[in-house]
Amino acid sequence: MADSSGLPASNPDDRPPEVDASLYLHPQTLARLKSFELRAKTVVEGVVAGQHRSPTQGFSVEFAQHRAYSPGDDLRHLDWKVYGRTDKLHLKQYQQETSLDVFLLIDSSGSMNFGARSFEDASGQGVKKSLDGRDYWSKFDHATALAAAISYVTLQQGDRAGMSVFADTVRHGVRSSSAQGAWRQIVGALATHPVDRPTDLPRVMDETLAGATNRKLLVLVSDFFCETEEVRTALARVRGRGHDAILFQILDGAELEFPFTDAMPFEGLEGEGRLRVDPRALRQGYLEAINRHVKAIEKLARSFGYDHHVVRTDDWLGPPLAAFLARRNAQHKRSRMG
Amino acid sequence: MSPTLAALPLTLAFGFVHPLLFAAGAACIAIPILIHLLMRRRRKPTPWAAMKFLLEAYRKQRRRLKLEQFLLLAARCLVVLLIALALGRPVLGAAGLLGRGSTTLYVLVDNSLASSVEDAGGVSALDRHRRAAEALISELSVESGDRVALVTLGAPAEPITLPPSTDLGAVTQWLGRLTPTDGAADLQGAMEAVRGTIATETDSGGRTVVAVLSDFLAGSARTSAPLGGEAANTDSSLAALDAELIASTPAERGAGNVTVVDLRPLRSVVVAPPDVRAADRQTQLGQARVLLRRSGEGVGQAQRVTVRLIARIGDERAPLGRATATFAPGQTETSVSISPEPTSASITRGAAVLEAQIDRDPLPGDNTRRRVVALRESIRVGVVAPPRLGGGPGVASFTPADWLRLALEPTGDPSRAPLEISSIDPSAVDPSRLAGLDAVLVATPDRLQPAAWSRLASFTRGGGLLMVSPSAEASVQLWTEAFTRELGLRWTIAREPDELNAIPLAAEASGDPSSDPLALVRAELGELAPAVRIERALPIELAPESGMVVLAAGDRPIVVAGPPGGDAGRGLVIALATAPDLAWTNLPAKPLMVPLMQELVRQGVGRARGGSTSLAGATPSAPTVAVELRRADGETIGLVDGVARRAVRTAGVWQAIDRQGRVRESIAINPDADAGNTNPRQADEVADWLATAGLGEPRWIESGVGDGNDPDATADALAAGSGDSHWSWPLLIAAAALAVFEMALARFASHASVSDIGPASTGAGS
Repeated sequence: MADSSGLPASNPDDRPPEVDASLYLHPQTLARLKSFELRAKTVVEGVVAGQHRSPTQGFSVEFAQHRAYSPGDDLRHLDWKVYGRTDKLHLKQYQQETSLDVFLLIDSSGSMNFGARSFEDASGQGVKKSLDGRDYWSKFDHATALAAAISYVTLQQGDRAGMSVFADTVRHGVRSSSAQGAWRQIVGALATHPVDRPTDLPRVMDETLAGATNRKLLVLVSDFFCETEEVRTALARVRGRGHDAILFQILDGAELEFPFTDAMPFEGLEGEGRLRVDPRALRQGYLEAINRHVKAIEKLARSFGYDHHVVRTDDWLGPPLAAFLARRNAQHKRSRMG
Repeated sequence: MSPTLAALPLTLAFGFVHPLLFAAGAACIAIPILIHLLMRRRRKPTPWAAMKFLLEAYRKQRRRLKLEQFLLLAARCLVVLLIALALGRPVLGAAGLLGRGSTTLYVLVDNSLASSVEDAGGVSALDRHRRAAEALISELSVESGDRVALVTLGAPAEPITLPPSTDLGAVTQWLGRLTPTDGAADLQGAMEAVRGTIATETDSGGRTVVAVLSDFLAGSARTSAPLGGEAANTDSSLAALDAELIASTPAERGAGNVTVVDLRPLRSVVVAPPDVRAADRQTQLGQARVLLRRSGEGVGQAQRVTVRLIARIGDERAPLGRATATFAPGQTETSVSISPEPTSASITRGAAVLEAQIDRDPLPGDNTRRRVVALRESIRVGVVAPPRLGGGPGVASFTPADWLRLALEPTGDPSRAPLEISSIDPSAVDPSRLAGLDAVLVATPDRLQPAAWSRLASFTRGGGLLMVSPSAEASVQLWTEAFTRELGLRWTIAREPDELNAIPLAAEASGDPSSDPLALVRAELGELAPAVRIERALPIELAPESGMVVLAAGDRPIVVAGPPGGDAGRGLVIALATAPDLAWTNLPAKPLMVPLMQELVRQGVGRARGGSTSLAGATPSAPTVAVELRRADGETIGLVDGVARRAVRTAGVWQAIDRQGRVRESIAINPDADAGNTNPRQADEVADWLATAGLGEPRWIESGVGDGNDPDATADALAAGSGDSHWSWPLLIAAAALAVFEMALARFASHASVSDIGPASTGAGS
């Protein structure tokens, strides 16, 4: 059963323990992010009025227009002055200032458990192993770090932030909130691990959007190692519900370079089986295939008007986030001026 | 002979010189396969998230990758296989339709006298030939149906295992028991036996190889005598023989060797009455001449050789004297006379074996020469003439028989005469009267019946001396044809004498000086012979090599001598062209008469016993009363009509034993002096000679003098048949080429060249 944020009822046993947030936010990342203002691409309706313009015609401070009364409308919003002059019933509509509702969707499918970078090098804290004993920095680790960073900045600006961890279904999450301590809840929920199941993005999106009443900025963090059609279906549903989305595609450097030389067996993390190949023989074909897929995801995102950004696990999170936010701000300003 | 083109596809087969090496190498093919399999299993799987794209790339290239992998594995296996093939030394040649096909190997091993020549290391040529033979046999396989025949060349050639046997081990054991003989090499006889066997072999599907293992020194390779294969060029049955000929490389040098060629005692029958002093008997016995010949290396240098003369009488050994022979630089033959020295040996009647010995040299087999000398108190002579009727003889009425008796018994005292004379009536010439006689003098041949001539022929062939003079009284000699016919002589004796008008007798002889019965007195004939005048003589013509003219008057033979016809090799026939009668010649009244008759009888008796000396490799003969030959070590050889059942191949002394077990004669078997010639032959000369065997040009095995044997090289010679071909080098080259191809393919298949295509793009969406 999902709550108003689309989250399934959390299982107390599945809820992650309190963790050290510094594992997820690299100091350099935080330092870079503080200089940027997190703004949504589109004006979303927020519970708290703020810097963000809502596309929903409401009844707040700034008058927008009149419209004819329909039976059932709230009589409190009738413009009695117009009625006095014209003897017609019209309602007053205002354009409201809203707060941003950011909801993060973190992929925890089996493929996110891959990583070729050492945990010690990636964490930047001198920690050699993760809490579950891994010595490598997985894509999921990188995704959670990114999610923590975005949610942190979001909450710092007084916006609402929520989060879900999913694979073939939504596993658990934190409903959107701007309350104090929300960030710690999010970080706690991120302290989980991938499962050996594939991604079912349309289903996850259905589950996420089922109870959503407010327009959200969905931050989709995944490797998108699924069929392109699934991504298309999921994004179509997001678009159909009027939400905005940002796609962060997390990829490991080894996945993008395929640097292996010796013949060896490769074993899929989502039950694809085992395949013994000579990497040098397949490298060209593999790189062409993954390049084609990344470009397809990018093209798909753009077709819906969403942004797509590839994040390598061997890059630190600051530069891609900064570039992304800067561009979003520019687009937001152009939108207001227009 | 190569198979015809039509038959070639059916007779080609694949074989290996070293099948075990090939098997081991072929087993190594498993190595790349095992590595391939182990590499698949050993690696720990790598977890991989982007399996979707890896599978996509794999599906697109699966067929090509599998093909590359297969080609790589196949190339690696093929490289190993080619190397294994090269190691196995494959041969492609005439054989059965399936598999390797059988090989029949005829090994002809030279164990003649020259095969005992030793190199500086003390290794004999026979040892090298033995090792070469063993190397050849080791290449055969019982499982393949291979067979081997062994024939030794020591004259006469001896088929040890012929027809070929599949019992390779037994033949190898036979090789180990081979010892050098003292005869020549009988390659002609061996080739004849081998050709005959090959011709009768019904299984013609296999390969036939004839291997001649010899140093081909001059003593072994008598290249002037063809090997009997010329008929193969004309005889279709012989031309059908499909055999290959391989042979040892002729030795390029031969060890220096001195051969005792001959031992010529003063007399081969020493006659001395019992009252003659032992010293005088020893003097007669110890006078001998020894002929030496040298060959091989060192002929260009001067050389001195000490010759010792030894008498063996029973178990007693008595040195008789010694002398030093000298070879001048370049001189190959020399002789030395040995004077007797005092000895303590008791020389009595019987037989003494004289031995001429020289110091040991690289070929010790021909360092000793033996001669049997009979020690007799008298020589028994029968004079065939009708009994004289009437009173005592007067010189004017002397018959030829009288003159002969007078010459043989000049002292008139029979008790002191060394010649014991008896008279035989011409009508009573029968075996009983002839038994015990050493010589028979026929003074009235016209009185003999044809049967008598037959008995005299048997007597002569049994080792007796027969001397015939014309009948003085007959104007027509009707006996001549029966005489020559029964004695097997290739002489032509006219029936009527020619009037010669007192032609003086000449001192010279014609023919082989070594068989001259007047050799001891020849020097004195210059003074004695001219006084003899020949008034009348029967014309005698000798066929070539049928005898010698001992004395002649002008161009007319007066005394001729020669062996009787037949294979016995014993006996001597002396014919006088003139009768010892004053009407025919004044010889009876001249001083020459006594020494002439004495020497003719004494030396003639000795030479008639010629069977007491024989050469190794020949079949010795003995008196017909003997039934077997016996050697000191107990070995015996049966005799048939005085002829041994088999040849004797080693030198030594044998005794002819009669039915009563009495020793009738001692026979010395000497080494074949010609077989001891160690001069090398040119390879071309030997090749031409071997080609006369009708088996084509030989291929050489590297086993020359001093080089030792290389088993592999020897095996190669067997493998590299004329119809076969070595594939080792082409296979190695192919393996190298394939290895290069494999490396190129491995590099291509590894796709190392695409390593610089760069990672996937990551700049999307920003």
